[in-house]
Amino acid sequence: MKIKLLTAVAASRFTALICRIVRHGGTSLPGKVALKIFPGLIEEESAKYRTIIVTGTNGKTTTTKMISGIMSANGILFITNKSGANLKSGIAATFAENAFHSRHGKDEKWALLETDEAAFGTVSRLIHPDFLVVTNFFRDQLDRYGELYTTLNNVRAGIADSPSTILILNADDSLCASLGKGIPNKAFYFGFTPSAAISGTGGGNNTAAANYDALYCLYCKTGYVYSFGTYGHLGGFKCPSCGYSRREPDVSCTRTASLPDGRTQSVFSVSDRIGSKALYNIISPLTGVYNVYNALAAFTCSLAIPLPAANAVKAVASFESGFGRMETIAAGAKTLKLILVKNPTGFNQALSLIKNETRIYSAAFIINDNIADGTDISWLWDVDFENYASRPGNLIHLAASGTRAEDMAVRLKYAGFGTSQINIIRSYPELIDKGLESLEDGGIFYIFPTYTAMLDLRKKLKVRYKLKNFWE
Amino acid sequence: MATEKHILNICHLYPDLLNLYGDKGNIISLQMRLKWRGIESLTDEVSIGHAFDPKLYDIVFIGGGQDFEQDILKEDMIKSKKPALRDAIENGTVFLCICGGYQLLGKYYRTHDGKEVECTGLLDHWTEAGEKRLIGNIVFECGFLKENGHDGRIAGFENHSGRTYLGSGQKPLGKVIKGYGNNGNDGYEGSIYRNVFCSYSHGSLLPKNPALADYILGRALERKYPGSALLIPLDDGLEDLARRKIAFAGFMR
Repeated sequence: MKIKLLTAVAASRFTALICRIVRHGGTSLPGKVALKIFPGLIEEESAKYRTIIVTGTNGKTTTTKMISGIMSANGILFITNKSGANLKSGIAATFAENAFHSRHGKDEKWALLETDEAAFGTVSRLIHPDFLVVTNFFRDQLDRYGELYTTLNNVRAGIADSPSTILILNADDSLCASLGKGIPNKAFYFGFTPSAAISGTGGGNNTAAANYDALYCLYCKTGYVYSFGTYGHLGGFKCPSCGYSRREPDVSCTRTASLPDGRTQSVFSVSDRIGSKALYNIISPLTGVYNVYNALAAFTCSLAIPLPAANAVKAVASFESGFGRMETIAAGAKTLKLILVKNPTGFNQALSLIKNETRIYSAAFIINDNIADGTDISWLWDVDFENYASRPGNLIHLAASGTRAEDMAVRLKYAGFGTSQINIIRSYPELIDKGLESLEDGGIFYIFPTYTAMLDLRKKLKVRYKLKNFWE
Repeated sequence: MATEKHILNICHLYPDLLNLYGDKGNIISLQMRLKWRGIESLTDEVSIGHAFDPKLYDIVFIGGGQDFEQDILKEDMIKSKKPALRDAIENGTVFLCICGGYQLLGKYYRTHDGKEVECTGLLDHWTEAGEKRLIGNIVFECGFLKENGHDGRIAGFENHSGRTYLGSGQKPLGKVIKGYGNNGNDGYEGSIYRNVFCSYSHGSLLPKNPALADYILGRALERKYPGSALLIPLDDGLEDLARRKIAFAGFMR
């Protein structure tokens, strides 16, 4: 067994080295190689760690990185998977890379693993995590998963095999919260209170109900009644027929507001179910309601371990956004802001951010239809560009790019922008130049790329602005 | 141009349940193309328990959805709304039905385990579940669009495991050039019966296929305002750019 493990680890690291040398940051090959040699790799290695898995549709990476920051703030040793390597192969590679590094007992080292919702079932049966954080469920990449309920039930089946896993769940998401029902697992919930939903930082009013998932009770298919909503189908849901409703969270956001410098200030209330009853003042460098949820998830996980709340507060305040999800890059006297878009909910939230922009700004939408982006771009029509186009504020330059630049341009036209306003710019260097040159000093260029577009864009920006490689 | 104010009434059926895959883009395309011609439109959202008035609407749109949502509305569609829907169809109301909506208008849906689930039976087609999902960009050609030098090609995206077969009462919407179409076998996509247009194509279907959007609008306008030439040509350069990229690409499946 040891020989197999050694060989698998060596092969994996060698493959990873080759990948780095040819500057191909692809993170799935090393893991695949390792598993070929030693199929029991994940099972055997994960047993040496205490494990946290983070899964869900939106916010996985940000939440995982926040928990990372919290672990570091507590001086805890941990391993975590590289960005985007959240399938079985990426997780195998993570274990292979870190094997043989430490001789400490199980209690001392942690593995923090972001895991794709579709891969969760497989992975959790091998790992049986100590903690599972589930952020939310939204429609996403339909050409990949087919149906939202299939994904949800796959996660549910994975949990069924791990009765001692402690769950951290979103109380406001009727789909996510249902994972805690009828099982022996201990579960802690996070969510908003009605008062916080009203005082929200925007994005609460998404778009017409026509775009929401999960408006009907997943147990008896009666339409939910909502006492409040935060975004998408999240909020104070209640089924008038069978009574399935949002339970009181153990950690709630009772207030949230945008600070003038763009940071978000929130108050988190902790119930005595999970710690000492207390209120915490949370300052986060991230904007938007969905990032408050990410902070809630990370904070709740931290309390469940349990780790001191004060360290979590510190960690959230000094959080640096993970690669590309929302990245701010200084470009001389101007600023570039990259905001990754993957699905309608995330895109709507991203658009609500620029609606609040008071400076003069440029905007570019880079839409690719490669496998990792989702090959069906129909989802663009579920994004509320009409709302954005009706009041774009101080928009000075608008561009569309990517493999489906033309479809993006058509979307903008039908949303209400004039054809002369819409610039199709296929070359990234030109896209960046044109976006920046129309700005005055202090202006900001918002770029919304899909996943592979962001990888390509960062390659170009990396050279210009000396960014870190994405696999660091 | 006539001096009276022209207006089309659109019905979006089950918008809260059949709203997957961005099909709302079809309604946006119709609304905007009317607006750009100075024609007003009013869109009603009609769902479970709401009355559907067969005389009120000029265009009815039914989108696609997941099994979970389709289950919820079947009772309402087959029992409550069916008579009114039949009236509307037989009276020449224009319908556009995508994917799940297309399947629901047919006779039945046969599942993997051979169970026949009843649908509305309003149109002469039926659907059977298949093993492989039929998914990817699709290009098909509509003969009725090939006037004035237009190539007649439609570019969209399909994603369905159901295979639909047309009975003698139905004509296909188009001939498949690239992709699977209704069932991956007979080379046809979608269906036409009277003014009811059905298709598996997402994308959404109409936005980058303005010739089809205008054809549908033309049928609705001609029915409501016979003889008045209301569809002035629009500048469809951008739409055509997007359409041609898929419709004439050498893309691989």
